[in-house]
Amino acid sequence: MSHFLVSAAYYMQGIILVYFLAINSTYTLLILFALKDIVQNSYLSTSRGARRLLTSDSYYKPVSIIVPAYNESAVISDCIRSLLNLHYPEFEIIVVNDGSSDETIARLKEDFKLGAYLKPVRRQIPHAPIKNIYISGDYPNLIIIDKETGGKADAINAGINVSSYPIFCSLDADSLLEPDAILKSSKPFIENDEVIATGGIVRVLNGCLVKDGAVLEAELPKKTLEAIQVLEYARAFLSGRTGWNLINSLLIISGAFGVFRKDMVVAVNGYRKTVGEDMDLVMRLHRHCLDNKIPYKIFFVPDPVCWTQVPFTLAMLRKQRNRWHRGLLDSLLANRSMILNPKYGAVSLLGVSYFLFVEVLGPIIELLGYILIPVFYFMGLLDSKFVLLLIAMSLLWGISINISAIFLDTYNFRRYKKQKDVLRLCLMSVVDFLGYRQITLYERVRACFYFKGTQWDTQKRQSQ
Amino acid sequence: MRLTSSPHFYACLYIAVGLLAAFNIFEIVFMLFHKNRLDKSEIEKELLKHRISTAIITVTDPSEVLPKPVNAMNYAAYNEAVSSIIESFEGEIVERATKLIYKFEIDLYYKRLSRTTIWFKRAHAIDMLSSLKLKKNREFFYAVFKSEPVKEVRYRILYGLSRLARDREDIYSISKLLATLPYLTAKYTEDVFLNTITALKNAGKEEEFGFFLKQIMTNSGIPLKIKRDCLSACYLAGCERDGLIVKEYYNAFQNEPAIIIACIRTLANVDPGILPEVLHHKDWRVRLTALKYAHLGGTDLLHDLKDLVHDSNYHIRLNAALALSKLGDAGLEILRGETASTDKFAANAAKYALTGAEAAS
Amino acid sequence: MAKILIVDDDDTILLIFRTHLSKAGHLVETAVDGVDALEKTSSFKPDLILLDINMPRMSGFEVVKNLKENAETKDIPIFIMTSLKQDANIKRAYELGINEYITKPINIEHLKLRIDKFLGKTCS
Repeated sequence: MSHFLVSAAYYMQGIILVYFLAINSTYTLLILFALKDIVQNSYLSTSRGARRLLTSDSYYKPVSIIVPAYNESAVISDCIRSLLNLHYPEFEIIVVNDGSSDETIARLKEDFKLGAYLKPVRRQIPHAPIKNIYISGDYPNLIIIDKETGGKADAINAGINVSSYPIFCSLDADSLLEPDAILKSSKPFIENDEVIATGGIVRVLNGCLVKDGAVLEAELPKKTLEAIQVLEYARAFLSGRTGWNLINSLLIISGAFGVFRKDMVVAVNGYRKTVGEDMDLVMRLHRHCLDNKIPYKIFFVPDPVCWTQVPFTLAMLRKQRNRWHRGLLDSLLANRSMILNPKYGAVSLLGVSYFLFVEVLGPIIELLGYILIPVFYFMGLLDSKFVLLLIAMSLLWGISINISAIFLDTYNFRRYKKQKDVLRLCLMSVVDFLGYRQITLYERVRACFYFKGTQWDTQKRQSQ
Repeated sequence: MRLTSSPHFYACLYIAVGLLAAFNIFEIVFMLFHKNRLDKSEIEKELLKHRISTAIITVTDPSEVLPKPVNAMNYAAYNEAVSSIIESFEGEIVERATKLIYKFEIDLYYKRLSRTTIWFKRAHAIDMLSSLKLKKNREFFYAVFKSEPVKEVRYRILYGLSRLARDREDIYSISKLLATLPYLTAKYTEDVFLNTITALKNAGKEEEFGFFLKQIMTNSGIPLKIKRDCLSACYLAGCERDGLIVKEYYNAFQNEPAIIIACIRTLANVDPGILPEVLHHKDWRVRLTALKYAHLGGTDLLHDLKDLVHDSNYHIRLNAALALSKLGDAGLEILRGETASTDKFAANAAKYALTGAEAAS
Repeated sequence: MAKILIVDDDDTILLIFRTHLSKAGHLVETAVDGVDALEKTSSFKPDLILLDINMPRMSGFEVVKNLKENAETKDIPIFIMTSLKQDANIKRAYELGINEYITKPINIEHLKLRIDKFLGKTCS
């Protein structure tokens, strides 16, 4: 019997080791791809190129910016004001009040002189009933939809129906778009008919100096919990998203900031009512285009920036990560025809497989590793030298991946001007492994067991 | 255990750990060094641009007071400063700026760069050259286009060429070259031809574009989409004098809705007589475009518009109602009547157009 | 001779205008966007404003509207300088009450003469 245990232990170690090598190699590969993409980007897109959209009477496509809002009365007016300052020739802002129980509508009526909006609405995609639509007297490109609660996906669908323009951008109410973000993220649509969706980078707003709805100075937040998330977002976006551009397999466009072609989204029947509606939509777009042999491109543009609030307490963070993971599981489940399906090519075999094996199974195996390795060690099945070296290697490799992500960020974008901040981010690369990673890991595994429905999560608003 | 008992295995692990630790330290140091260097370089670039602009405006021969460019950043500074000037100004300072470019061989630098092996560096060099709008670059662009394998760069070369168009022959060559590439987007093609029109206007030869349009009308070597985009560019540039040629296109391409749509925009202003015809066109997109200009057709169209408010297509209903709202009291009367219609969709469209008109007045 | 405010988001253009017009004897102030323009108008009190349309934070049209609605600033003459050439834009600008619509590329010598002539007219 103990012989059986010993061989089982041996195989477990093997699996854990192989997984560890595979995952870290994948991250490293993604970072190398991302480096190439970022270098390429630095040559190809200049601010001069983006200005061409502005200095021409017609070289742009009008954009509808849809902002779903649930109980956001504290921030919604500021959000709208910052959007009104967007540097773009023609756009409309559609705020969708998803049956808020607070003062959102009353506040908006007061701040923006709302009157009735009578343009007939085409019900192209289904959603919960709309109660009223308003248009601002001061700003004729500001439209407010008041509807019954239906969730974020539902709210964006309503916005899509009401929108008048061929491109829309979905934006969170507590996020701040940079003034040229729409310019840079809509440029690919003008230059290539095949582009159907682009995502921009989401950065951490906590700790930054904000004035008049614009970020003046990017600074690292003082709290370690928030600072680690800066690192995490840099890693997730710059290495996690950019790398997929090369094989046209981008699967997540952040719900906080994504730009889509309306006709394609309508063709896949809009957003689905689910927790991870952003990933689900992108997966369905891939499927639709591959099934119908429509040439298409979905990619991540690292230049346009959206600043967003991140959780600043542990409880908020855990809830968020739990929700994200449930969303991931739901999207994979609903689109399971894309799992290891050669018909869908690289998107399925590489993109979806990555999410399945690295993002879903990975945390489980890693957690098993944390539990089993000490167990095996105390059972005398493992050499202490081996254990220590393994831990050192995994730590150092992980830290190098983190630092590479910071390097990618400073290569082209250099938002954090102070050297002190960059050094602190490097410190965070280490601190990441001293508990933060483990907490998110645990929460993700937990989410697998608590896999259930959709709900808006309220987040305590941090005053600025 | 068999694996872990081998001495080589441990040696490998030790080496791996050592390498990783060293790599991390190296990465951090390199990153900070790189960031510092870039920050300094940017500040220097801005200062140099400032100096260049001041020199160009104050001194007749700026090359006497300015340093020669030595690295990529310098060249970029010269390029950016000069292209800002060339974009926004004309006259003597543009001449001085251009002479400066030739004197310091900035164009030669980018021409050299446009031959590197990495395609996006070539694309970048082409972009930089295009923004300088140097007439002498025409032959160079044609030559590079022939030898360039990557199509992303070729689009940029054509764009650069379009800004240097001299006459109808040039534009014709550009359109032929465009036809050899896969169609990119309408906006790109329109922009290319808009550039050619602007270049012609600046040289006082605006009528050349009209001749070009006439030339390609019956040319089957130029795809339909490109012809359509030329017509759009014509409209966007405000070339009313080409109305006759646009009318010829309208008559010649009755079977092509894309061309008809492009023609309507120009013709609606100069020849509203076509409106009744296109309002009843079988393709709904033609009808839609016609509706957007229907208000120029006068009261003869009131009856047609009234029917179209009941069309099955959402966009047609809406625009028909909007057109009526712009046709004075007669139009408003009809709209008021329609708000009581049993056709709910028509009634809604009418209400919307009415409130819009009443708010405007 | 006169106080001129120049508004454009491109540094190079601001520099060119500033140098050229200062040499001609005018007192020049610059602004980089719409909000800046309004602030500088109230502090600098220019005799003429040269305004670009495409600017961050507030477009040129917005700036004109704001200036014309304010009793203190509604009489300050405005020249629009822009690369936008469509009729709709030109019409809109004149409807808002600007004095001259100048399209880029601009001949700076001619502009100087136009400014002198215009200011000469308003002075006398």
